[in-house]
Amino acid sequence: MSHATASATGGDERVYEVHELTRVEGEGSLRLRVKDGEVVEARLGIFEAPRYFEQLVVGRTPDEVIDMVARICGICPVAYQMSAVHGFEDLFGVRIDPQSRALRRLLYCGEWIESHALHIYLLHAPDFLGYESGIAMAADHRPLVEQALKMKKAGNHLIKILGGRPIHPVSVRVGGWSRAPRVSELKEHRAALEEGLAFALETVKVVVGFTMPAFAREPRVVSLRHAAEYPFSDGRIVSSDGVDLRPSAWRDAFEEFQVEGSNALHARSLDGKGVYLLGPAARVVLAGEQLHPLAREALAASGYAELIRTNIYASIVARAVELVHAFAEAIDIIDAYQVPAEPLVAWQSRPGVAAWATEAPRGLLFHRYEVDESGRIRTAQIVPPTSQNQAAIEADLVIAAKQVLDLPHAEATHRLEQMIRSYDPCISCATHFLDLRIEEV
Amino acid sequence: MTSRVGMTLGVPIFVCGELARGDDAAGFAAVELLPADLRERVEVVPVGQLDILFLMDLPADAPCIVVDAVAGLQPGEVWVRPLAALVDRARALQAAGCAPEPRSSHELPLEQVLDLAATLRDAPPAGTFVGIGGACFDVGAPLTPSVAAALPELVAAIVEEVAALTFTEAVRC
Repeated sequence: MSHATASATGGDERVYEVHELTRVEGEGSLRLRVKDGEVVEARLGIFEAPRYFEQLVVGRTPDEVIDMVARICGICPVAYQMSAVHGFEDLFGVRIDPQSRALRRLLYCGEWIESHALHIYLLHAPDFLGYESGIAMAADHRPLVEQALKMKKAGNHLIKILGGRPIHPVSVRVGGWSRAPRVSELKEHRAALEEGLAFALETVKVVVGFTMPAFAREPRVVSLRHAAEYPFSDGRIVSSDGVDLRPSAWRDAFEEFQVEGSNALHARSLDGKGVYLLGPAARVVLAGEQLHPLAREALAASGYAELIRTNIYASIVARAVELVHAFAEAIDIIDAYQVPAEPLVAWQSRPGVAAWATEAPRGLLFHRYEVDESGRIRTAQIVPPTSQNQAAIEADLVIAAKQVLDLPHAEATHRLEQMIRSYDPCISCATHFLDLRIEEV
Repeated sequence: MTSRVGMTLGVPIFVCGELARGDDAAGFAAVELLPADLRERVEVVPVGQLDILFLMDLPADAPCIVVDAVAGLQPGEVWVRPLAALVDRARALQAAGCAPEPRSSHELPLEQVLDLAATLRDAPPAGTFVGIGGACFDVGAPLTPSVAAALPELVAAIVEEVAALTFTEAVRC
């Protein structure tokens, strides 16, 4: 249950407020003010304290940075490691072993599995099934919650095999891996992944059965797209309206900016169009043809391919389809796996800018580091997907507002929360930023 | 006649808290002080935050011990309760509409994790919560003197609970 102030303020003004959003990662709030039927304020407030990671990594070496940025998030640490390591390897001209590359995709599969399973069942499904929490839902839908926990465990265990522990893995290194798993270690986990794949396919059917609130808009979507694979760490940054950039060139088309009253930077495109949408729905729209055949089949059978693009509530279906993809690709990678001939290739630092974007569970995550002559970080910029999605969330609140005005206040407020949860926002990730300036007097 | 028959069960001790946050490190400090012979009968699992998956992995009826610092008690006060009692408390708070709200999607309050496990397993997890009142949970702070002084009492409570959970009553004719 959320702390909510949903009140009619008299006259034609209504205020919908949730002081502490629940079932999102981190601390945020919602405020929507409607006057005479027009939205005059729509704000996703982010009041979680800033975490200063961009300053913490200054002076550190690339391998130290990889472990440090993983600490930004307990749900998507792999994404932070992947954007950083790819940026450094791009700058240093490192070419890793193809099997090391496959292992990195496998690591990303593990993260998508645990993140998507958690969000679909424990954070978002309660909205559709009419419960205030996953715990309350478990009493009536025990098999679903058990299924979710098994999938989450399968994802976490995959990360543990590859990264040494299920959260904040420690084996990713510039040049590959500090340790590559034995074939037998991965094969032993195959049965759990097969079981997870069956659950994931079932999950698509479950979420398609949910009643989606009406919602329609034509969003501008942005994600990585690759010619031969569903995007994790490689490809090009593309949009539904023609953006096409190297993964290192995010700043050629987008920028961050400060918004008063928020501890997270917002982002916008430089072409003046502003708002864009990231995440599973964007990826399915832009790169759906590269989904694993099983996931593509599940998407087609769902009948949701178009609704995923236009109705934010249907993002839960996109997430479920990606769950299928992650399990299926993980199994394929394990079946083809051979221990890398050279798990960790030698590399040499050189000064310059290391930048790269990869696909976190919640969307495009961009890192940029200036590396100095001594191989240490001079400056850092980390642009998480939730920061970039804030403007889209607020724009969608405006649309949603018009659709909830006739509902009772409590129900309207809940519907707005549900809409925000459709983005799976990770507020803790979004507040890593802010310049730290200490003035000595 | 009744006698106690020792059984090595490898009782897991889930240690919650955060090493770098003052009295939140009390559980970690306590398990370091456990007697060597007792360590053979337990499995110390530093978890930080107790995840539902740890409890779901336990065999049915297998007991565990959860150790954590507690805000709201007197600093250094040792507090021992069956895990089932914490589940009852969580449900009572829920029914009264005043359950604590998780502020993170992966940090459910301990009682709610136990409640979820009880729901999914048809029974509360077997075992005991051993807590100690904390005074300061600031980042970088050491244990406060009152908590440091109470560590032997916390260790004794853990030892007692391990003894209770790893010995079963057997009836001899």
